[in-house]
Amino acid sequence: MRWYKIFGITKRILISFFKDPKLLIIAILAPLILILVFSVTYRPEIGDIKIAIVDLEKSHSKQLNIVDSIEKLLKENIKKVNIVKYDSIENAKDAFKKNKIDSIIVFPEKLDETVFIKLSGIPIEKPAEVILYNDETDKLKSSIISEGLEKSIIILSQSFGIEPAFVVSKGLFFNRDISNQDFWNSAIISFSIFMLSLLFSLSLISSEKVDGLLQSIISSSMTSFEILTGYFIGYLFINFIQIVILLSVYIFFFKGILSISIFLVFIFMFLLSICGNLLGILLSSTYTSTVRSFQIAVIIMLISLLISGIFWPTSSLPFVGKILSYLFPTSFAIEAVRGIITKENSFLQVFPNFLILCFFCFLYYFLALLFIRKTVD
Amino acid sequence: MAILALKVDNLSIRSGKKDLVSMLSFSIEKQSIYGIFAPTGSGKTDILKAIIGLKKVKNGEINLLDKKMPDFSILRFVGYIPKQRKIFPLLTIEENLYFFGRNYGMTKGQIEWKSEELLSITNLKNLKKTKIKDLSFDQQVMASFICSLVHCPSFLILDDPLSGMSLPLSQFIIQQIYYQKEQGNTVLFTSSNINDANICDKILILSRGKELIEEKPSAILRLTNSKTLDEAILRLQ
Repeated sequence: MRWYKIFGITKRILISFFKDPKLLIIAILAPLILILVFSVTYRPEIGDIKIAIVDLEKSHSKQLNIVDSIEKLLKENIKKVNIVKYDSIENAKDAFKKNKIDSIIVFPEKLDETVFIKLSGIPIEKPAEVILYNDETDKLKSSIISEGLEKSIIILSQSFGIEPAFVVSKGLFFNRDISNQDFWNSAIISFSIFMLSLLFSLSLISSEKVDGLLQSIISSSMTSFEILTGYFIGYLFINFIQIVILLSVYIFFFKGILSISIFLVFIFMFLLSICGNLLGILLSSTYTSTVRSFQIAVIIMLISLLISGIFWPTSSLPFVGKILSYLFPTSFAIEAVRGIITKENSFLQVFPNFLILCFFCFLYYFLALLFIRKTVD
Repeated sequence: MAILALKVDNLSIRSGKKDLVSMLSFSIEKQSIYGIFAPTGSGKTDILKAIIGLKKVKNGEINLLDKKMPDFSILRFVGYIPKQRKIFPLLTIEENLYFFGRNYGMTKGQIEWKSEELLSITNLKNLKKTKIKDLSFDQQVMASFICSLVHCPSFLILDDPLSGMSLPLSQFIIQQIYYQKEQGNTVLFTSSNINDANICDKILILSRGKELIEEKPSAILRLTNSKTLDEAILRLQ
């Protein structure tokens, strides 16, 4: 082993590193960006918990005011809770769809009467049933709400000196059981197609650039629009196949939704793949060095992985995190796909996200159009 | 007065903080062979890229086939063969010809007619359904060359076409350059080897991005009282 040879390589790497100002900037900025993104996305504690209460008791003869007592106890037992009363389950479910609330507690008719009978020492036929509609996709929040409600019922019953006269049963928001797995899968399929489309277009166009093939096309009489659109449509076909594969795995392997809304999911994934696709072409055109364009692509993917609501909803992010998340199309696509899958949102409800994604597509297309000929400069 | 195919006035090209080319002017007559000679790394490729509008110029004006550049519509009549040009390795020769022909707006019939002619002169007719990656290096270069000619360009630009070529390939390329002139077309090529100047009607010799001389090779020898162009360059510097 000859150390001078080893040090020769080391010295060469360090000289190259310090002589490349762009690499230096990336090397210094990358850790700064990462630590800042981690700090603004890290969620040490849960944000506001919004609970809807629906009281089905229509008569005014509430002897014990059970619902009011439970509401008071919930406020004592759950931190940062915000309770809103709704007059029907439908209205409450609608609010849930619009992300206004996290769960619904439905108190049955004759609840006070049942508790009163139990208090009188008369055996009750069956306990009253309080239904908790919890958003099971957010495991942390749903467990806090469940525990808080159970605790409140026990405390109230103990204050009466009786065994609980009512039980909590789980209600389903929609036709099927939505679990925490759906929260993940909806984000994972969306992010996967963004990552794949970005890397595919970037690697394919970069290899053609290195081989001088792109130069041959650019030096022909084709307009920038024709060149960009030609590449873009070609890559979209590849993305189309990838979306079909991702959705098939999601439906058949992860037992995901298999209804008309899958078409809506497809549309959002397709829009996101267009964004990824164009971003790949844009990065490849902006940077003459292929290595540099891949470095930037990795940074973009890493930041969007942290900030787009994959691990936790963007609505729970701190203010700076929320602002940052608006800069990435993934945030809007994941929010829409998650809404369609976990909350059965209709097209109208996710229409704003659709418009924003279209805007990103046009923006990237316009920028790629400006830079495509710069590729060979 | 001769008709000009290209006119370059006061061209300056900058790369980063370095001036690659400064205040360069030259013109090329139609139906002639013109060579730009300079050592490697002195901006020859950048001049060619600037001519076809792929490189931003610091200042200067370029008129190519009576059009002020950059004007990408004129590239329909231009054939540009970059240094070490490659064509799509997974496509056959025929598919590559079709692809490049369509890029220049040719019809299927026009491409077929021109392909037949080009494949015949390169002896690649029997290999037209062979993928480029399965051809020998010489065959790949020939295939690449004919792909640049498929749209019948009237102005051919070749970036260092003879560098690193075998003798048969060099002869093939020189033959094609002469053939293009015979057909009434104009050829502009660059080289770092002054011996390639023998095939040119007029040459431009650059030194550090500036014009050293622009003349016919025979005139340069006469003016510098030299026996070879190598000797002439030494005297000019």
